Amino acid sequence: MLIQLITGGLAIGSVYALIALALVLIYKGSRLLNLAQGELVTIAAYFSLAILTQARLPYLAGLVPAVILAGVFALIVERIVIRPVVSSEEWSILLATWGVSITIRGLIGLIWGHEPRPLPSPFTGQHLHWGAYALSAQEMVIIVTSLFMLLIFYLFFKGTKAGLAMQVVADNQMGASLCGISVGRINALTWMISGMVAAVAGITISPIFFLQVEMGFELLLSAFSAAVLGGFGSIVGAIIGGYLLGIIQAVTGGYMPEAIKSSVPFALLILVLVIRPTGLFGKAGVEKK
Amino acid sequence: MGILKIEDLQVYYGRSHALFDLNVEVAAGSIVVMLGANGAGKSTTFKTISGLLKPKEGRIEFLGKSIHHLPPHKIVKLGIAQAPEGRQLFLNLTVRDNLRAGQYDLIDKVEMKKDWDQVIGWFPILGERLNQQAGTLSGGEQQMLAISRAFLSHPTLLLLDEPSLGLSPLLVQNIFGIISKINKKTGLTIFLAEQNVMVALSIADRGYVLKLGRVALEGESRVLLESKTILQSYLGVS
Amino acid sequence: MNAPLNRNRILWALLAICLLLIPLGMSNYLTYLINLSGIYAIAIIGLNILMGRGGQMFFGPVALMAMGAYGAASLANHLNFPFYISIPLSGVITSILSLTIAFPALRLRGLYLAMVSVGYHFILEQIIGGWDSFTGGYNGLNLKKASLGGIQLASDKAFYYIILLAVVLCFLGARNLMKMRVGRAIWALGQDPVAASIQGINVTSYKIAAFMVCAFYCGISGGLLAHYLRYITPYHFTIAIAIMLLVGMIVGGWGSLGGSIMGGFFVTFLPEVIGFFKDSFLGASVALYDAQETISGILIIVVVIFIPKGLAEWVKEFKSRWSYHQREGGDSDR
Repeated sequence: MLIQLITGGLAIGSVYALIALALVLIYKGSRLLNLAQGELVTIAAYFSLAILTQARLPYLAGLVPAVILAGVFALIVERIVIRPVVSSEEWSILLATWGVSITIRGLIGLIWGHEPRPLPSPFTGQHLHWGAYALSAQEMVIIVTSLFMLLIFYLFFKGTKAGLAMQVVADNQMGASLCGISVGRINALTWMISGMVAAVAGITISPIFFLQVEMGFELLLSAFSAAVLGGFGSIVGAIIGGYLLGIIQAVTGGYMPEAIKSSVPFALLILVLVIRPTGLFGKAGVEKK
Repeated sequence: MGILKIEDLQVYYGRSHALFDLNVEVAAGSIVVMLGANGAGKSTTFKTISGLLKPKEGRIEFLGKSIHHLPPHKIVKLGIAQAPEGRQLFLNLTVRDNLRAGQYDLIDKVEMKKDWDQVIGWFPILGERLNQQAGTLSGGEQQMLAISRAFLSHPTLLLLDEPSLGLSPLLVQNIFGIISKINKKTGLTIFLAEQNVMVALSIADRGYVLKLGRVALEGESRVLLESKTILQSYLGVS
Repeated sequence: MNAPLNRNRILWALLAICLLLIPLGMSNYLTYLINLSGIYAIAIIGLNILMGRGGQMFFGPVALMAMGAYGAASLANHLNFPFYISIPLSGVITSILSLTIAFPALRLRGLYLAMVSVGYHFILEQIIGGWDSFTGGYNGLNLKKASLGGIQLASDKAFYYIILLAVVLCFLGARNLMKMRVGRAIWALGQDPVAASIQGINVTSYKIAAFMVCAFYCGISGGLLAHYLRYITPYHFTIAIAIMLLVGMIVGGWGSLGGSIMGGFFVTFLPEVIGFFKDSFLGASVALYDAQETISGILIIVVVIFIPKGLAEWVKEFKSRWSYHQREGGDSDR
């Protein structure tokens, strides 16, 4: 029983880790919290629903175009909404991203309606047998795909020129432009990557949790808690925070009533912020916004 | 022949008028220094050249091309690099990554390697500290890093904003010696902003004295050095 | 000298008469909308004191409204308090309960406080939903009709006057509060907490004070809502409403008390306006809720990009151009 809780926790933790990574990337690059991050996950999941049902592609092949589409969508949002307000006050930008979030939710409701939809996946209901245990195949898919995505991201971030540019812009925008780097373009790239990373999270979790218009917001809060737990502003922290939060939530949920389970991320968030605001990996004195 | 020409520049910093009718010319292959006290407008001028500020009126021409309306990264691509006020290093990244950032735009691997080796040759201490975080370097080392990063973008014009700031006299002599060497060996045009009059004029060909946003005095550095009394009245230098 | 002052008095008197007579000519539904606007305006005033002036990014005013609503309902149902006691008392209780968020908030700034307050709201929503015996859970809670001296006050028009009185009192109270030492300290705190503490202002006490004042207003707002609707459920206090209050506050003008009133109207009438246009142009088959969501979202984006200072600021400029005799500074000035 515990093993299954842990794999479940790792699965949901993978999702949290990816979304938290997306959040922190955008934050490091442009100092803003993307309140629409959850909705970017949702829209990616619905994209994959459309692709898988219309085009009748096999599950994994349907993932790729959906992820790319999600990246392009995020890019468009960045150009249209974020660019014009990027130099405004903090709350303005926050509100703008919230506006995007609401708009996306409304559009999804208009196009697909509010009924929860399952995402067809060949792994649903399947189990892998490991010794005496039966592990959910879909959960395994989530864990493996997420790790793969994180690996690709790592290789990109540390190994390519664009990745270096992202690190550079996150560190010092003025210095970056003096090196010939176009900060605007890197920000757009950051949004696109965030969109794609979050997309993988949404698409892999949807067969288990079903697609719903409202799924984004709760994911956002959980991912935020994960990022804070790991030390907001730290990429490594966000990822580890995500897995940690997932496991904590799954394990406590196994022994507690259902109603409390969904409060776990918030309770943990408040706890962390009051006791140790810098999280596990954050640096003391990091500019908290 | 001037590779950089600033004509009738009017620049505002927020609401305050920072530069008035600025006219400056930098000849190819020379070292030109802009002198002035704190707040005289040196950094404002440099920021405007690199595109970080936009002038209200006037023009800046580089190699015959008008650049004052261009965004900063495009100006770098045209061949102007700057080690700016405050250095603006990537403190959380390694020395190596800082230097790599400087070469971001370049493609010619052979040339890049040559530049890299040259820089390490001038500042061997950077070579020792390649894997260290830039934020842990001393003031002098950070200054060397800033200059190196700018140099590594293989510019035609190098802008150095107060390279002596916060450094010991020995270090200052060291760095200025290297700056002069860079200019003599590679013919790179260097435009310097400085408060340290003597050291700057000792390596420069030509100087401009800025006072409260205006050019108060200009001429060959030899002449400026000799008219110390004039310099005194404009800069309050002894 | 005397002429403008007299003109002023006449205008205010005219306004008062209009306000008192308006409901006589209006449909019940319109009165209902105006009543809701007033209720939300009070909550927005509270939010403006804490967030607009005090600078605390607080997304939990609706949680406080819920406290006020359920508090007033309990006082009325279990202890038989009349509405004019249960509502203010509930405001006080909410104020005290708000310490549960005020104390943690002392250590948080900006974004962190925002997210924690959202978490606070969610936890409270769970509590309300789960605590069936006290709150009636998701089935909701009913209240008896409000009565004053034996006369039952249940109609929209009756409540119009109650709410009007409440709004006027709250508005005047807030304005005077802002002029007193407490108000100025809160404003200084919002501008620059470091500078404020250097000047000897006890930042901690005034932060807590700001929370308590905001909670009081939100509590009253919730209490009014409970007695007016006579039926409350957790669905009346969602995070979406909290966000709408925030948007209303910003549209009206960050920190502006007069803007709070505008904000209240914005929050209530916007969905109606959207619904109207949707029916006219898009047809009834399109889901109302989603159309509202989409248009609200786009509207928020447009407001943020194009009207960052809020409507109250715009009105102020209009006012100052229209009557240059106004030396006193008006009612919504900082």
